[in-house]
Amino acid sequence: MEKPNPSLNVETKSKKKSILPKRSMMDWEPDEDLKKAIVKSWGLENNNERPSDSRSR
Amino acid sequence: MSDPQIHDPGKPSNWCSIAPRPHLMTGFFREWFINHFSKSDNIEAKELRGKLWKAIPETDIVIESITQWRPDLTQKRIAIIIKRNEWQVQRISIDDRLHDSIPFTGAREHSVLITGSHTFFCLAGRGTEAEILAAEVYREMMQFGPVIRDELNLKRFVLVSVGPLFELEESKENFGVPVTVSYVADENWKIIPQAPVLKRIVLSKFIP
Repeated sequence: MEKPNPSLNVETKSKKKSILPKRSMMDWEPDEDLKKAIVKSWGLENNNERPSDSRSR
Repeated sequence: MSDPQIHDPGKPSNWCSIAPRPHLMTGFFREWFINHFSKSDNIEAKELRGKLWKAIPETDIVIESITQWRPDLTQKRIAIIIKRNEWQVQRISIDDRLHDSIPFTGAREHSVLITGSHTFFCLAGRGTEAEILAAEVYREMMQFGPVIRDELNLKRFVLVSVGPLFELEESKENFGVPVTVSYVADENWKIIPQAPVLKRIVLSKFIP
């Protein structure tokens, strides 16, 4: 039986890969953490209080 | 923001009569950054001072809504691409009523809060450049946020997040940083009946 040539299994070119995640901008949606942060920033979480106007502070 | 003008509080801006709408918010943000990147004096990061917005296809920086963006539009240039996220309606009273009682005229006043957010994708051919652009964008919005809130009659306008650097899937060798802001606006309206409510009651029917 013919032995496989090991050189064929070795990648000859080392491809430079980015360590950063690839993301689509078109399909981008806020993830759960960001959604929570957005909701918190509205100041309406856990109550129905109206956010106070800066002029009344 | 460039070229600030004194706002006369006696003259409400056009914005007040049309209320916040998704495409207008996107348009406002685009205009804001076009103004910012039209004069090098406005730009905080010295690395970006030569990257000015011009109303020609060869502009140094692309500032567009995501609905207008194509991968070939940016290429190696830096860009700010604006995307609206979900808006929600927040109920603040029963039946969205502004007042408990309805006057004899029958005119009803209602009010809700509109909550939403926008994300600005700061794109560049190099990761470092995308980070520098993101810093310029978030600092501008954070520092001028209170002015924008008053100008747009918003109840709240805050910088929420500067997301992690990522490689763009749609465009080869482009990097991006998402910067997200959120806001709260109120929407008020009045329903005016054509005739007062009591006009419909014919009193003669009750007289024996």
